[in-house]
Amino acid sequence: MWQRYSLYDFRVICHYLGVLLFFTGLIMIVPLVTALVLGEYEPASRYLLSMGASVTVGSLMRMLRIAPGRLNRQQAVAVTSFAWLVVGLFAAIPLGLSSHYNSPIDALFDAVSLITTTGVSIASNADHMSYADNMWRFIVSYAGGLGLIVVAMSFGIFGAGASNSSLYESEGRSEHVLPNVVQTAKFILKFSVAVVAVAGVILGGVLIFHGVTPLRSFFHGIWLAISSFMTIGLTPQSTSVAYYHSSAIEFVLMILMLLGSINFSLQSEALRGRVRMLFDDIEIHAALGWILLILVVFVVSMTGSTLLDTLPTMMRSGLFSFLAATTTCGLSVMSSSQLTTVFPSGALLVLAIAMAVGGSSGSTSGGIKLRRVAVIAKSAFETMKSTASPESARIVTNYYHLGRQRLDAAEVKEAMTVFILFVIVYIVGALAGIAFGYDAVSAIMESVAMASNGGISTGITSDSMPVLLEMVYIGEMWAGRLEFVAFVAVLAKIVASIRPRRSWLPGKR
Amino acid sequence: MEQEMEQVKSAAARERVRVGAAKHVPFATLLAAVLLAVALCLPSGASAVESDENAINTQQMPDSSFLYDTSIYDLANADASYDGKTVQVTGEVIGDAIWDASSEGKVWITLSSQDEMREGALSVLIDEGDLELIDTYGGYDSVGTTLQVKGEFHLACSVHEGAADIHAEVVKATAEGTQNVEQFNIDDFVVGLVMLGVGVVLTALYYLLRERQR
Repeated sequence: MWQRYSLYDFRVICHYLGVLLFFTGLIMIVPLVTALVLGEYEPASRYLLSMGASVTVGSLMRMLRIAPGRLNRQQAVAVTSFAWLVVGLFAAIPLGLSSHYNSPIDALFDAVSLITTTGVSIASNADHMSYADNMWRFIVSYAGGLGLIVVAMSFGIFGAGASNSSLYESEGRSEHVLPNVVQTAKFILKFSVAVVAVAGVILGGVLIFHGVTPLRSFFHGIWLAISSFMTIGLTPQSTSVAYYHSSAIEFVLMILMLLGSINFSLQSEALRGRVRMLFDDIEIHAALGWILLILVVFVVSMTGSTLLDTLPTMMRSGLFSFLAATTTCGLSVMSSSQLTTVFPSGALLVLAIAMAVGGSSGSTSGGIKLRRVAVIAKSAFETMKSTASPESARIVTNYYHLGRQRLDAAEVKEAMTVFILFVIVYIVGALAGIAFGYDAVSAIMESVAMASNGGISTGITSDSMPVLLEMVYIGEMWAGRLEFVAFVAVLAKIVASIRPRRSWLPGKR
Repeated sequence: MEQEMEQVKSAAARERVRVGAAKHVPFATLLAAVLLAVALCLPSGASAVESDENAINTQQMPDSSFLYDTSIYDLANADASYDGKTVQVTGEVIGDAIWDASSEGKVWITLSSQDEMREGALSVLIDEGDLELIDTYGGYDSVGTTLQVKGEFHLACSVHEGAADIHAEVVKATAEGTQNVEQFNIDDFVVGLVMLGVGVVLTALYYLLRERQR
């Protein structure tokens, strides 16, 4: 039986969502200042208005419960689940007020895509977008990549009442880098800022070498660093990474994508000199084996292409696309049209499968996650071993992930549940695309790109796609970012809360 | 004996026909030749130009230089049928000119479609000298120079590792770019300032109520 949310729960949840909205409004000062400094007055007026709206609504929501007290687990899960949608809604306001979107739904789609780090954009005339709008898009996606709750905890936004692991774990993070959740959140933030800063300087330098102006090199360098390390896949130009025609930039981006897809805890251990933990980890082993297998299949399927027929071409285009899919980053050196024309359908499906599995847990990647796949594989092996062993034998399976772990039933159950939910959503989303008349392979790829937050689009996602399909994809992106369990649990509780009690119904006393 | 006589008679008859025909052949040939000569000398109804333009050159290879006057949108969504063809497109130069590290004296530009309903962008490789034609690069506050480019289109260029591009042969500027300078107008900020003011007041009220509760 599902426990209901009470009015008190509702007010507490609204309070914390209001806190997030309030600080979302404050962060809008960054694009506002950018616009004013660069003389982009129309965007500046939009960000001022949006800032006012977020601060106003956020304050009103906070006043629903002045002193909320400590969050319990059910409230924390609801706050985390709705944070993404509510912040996405208000992040869409300045975008929707611009001339780049045909409707509010289009702006919401883009905002959700940014905040969930899917990175697919349906903005029109993106090459004429202001620096302020681009800055906002990358800030929103940076926060989404880190995790809204991580950002909130790092800055102590929620206060002492919410410093518990329920919020943190509800966002799909199960490991603590450091003993304290807040310290973990702060470490992730600082680490990402350091990586983005260094990478931004390198990328900016390469752009200046290629003749781009210093101002544009600075902005593009930072934005590309954010996009690749946070595995977002968004670029300021409509032709994605192909715009830059630079193998040096593509090389740096590939390194950043790989870094972003590795568990932050492992990276923390490696930074402290415990590199062995990195190489003994089950996820790293799973990643190496999985990538090797899928890469062989991908290369073989690519030989069917008549246009990518030289080794350097296959290496550069194919490898970059493959890494972008495996890490669920979604950056591309090929257009959507090229993907469906130049790539054989088998190669496209391989990319879809790579996105579906995704990267490491505790990283910025999406997808089912390698740890779950490894756990399921270990469990399957244990079952086979148990079947082949005498009745009296007791099979124990251990693995190494930030220390020696024993494979237990609860962990396998969690992994299987999330795996099944992901697969169901992939199929439902694909069927929705097919129902709207799109090609089957493209529909499958698009559905996987949304739910895994991978973002490699075959062209279905555009400003002309059906509104209903747009809403299906919004739901997929949102649920995929939360890895389904928290999302489904909250939805079930909400339904249970609004259903009349059986004792209220006549004849049911 | 009679049979032999018959055979001889038949052979003689065939010989007579043959000789007769042979006698007539020169006359028939002569007549045909005369008729042909007369026909060739007659004036033709067509006004044939006395030049080589209509001459058939049996050594000519299949012509692949047919020009496709197309759009950037069509090329951005092209299939293999356009690959390797000479195309001509017109578009706005946006973003930056990026030096191609692998080719001396070559620069990449990006042409954007000017049709709002059919958006698209494509990379074009031009000579360094053609940069003089570009006075403005399109961005937020500018509309870039309009260029007409003729060149070979590649759906997945083998020289440039799979990029979709045009290797320009002829570049012409058809329209200049424009720079838009925004003027600051306080009226545009009034609503936002009011909204922010309301938000600040509500925030202050919240903290006041929280202090009172303690």
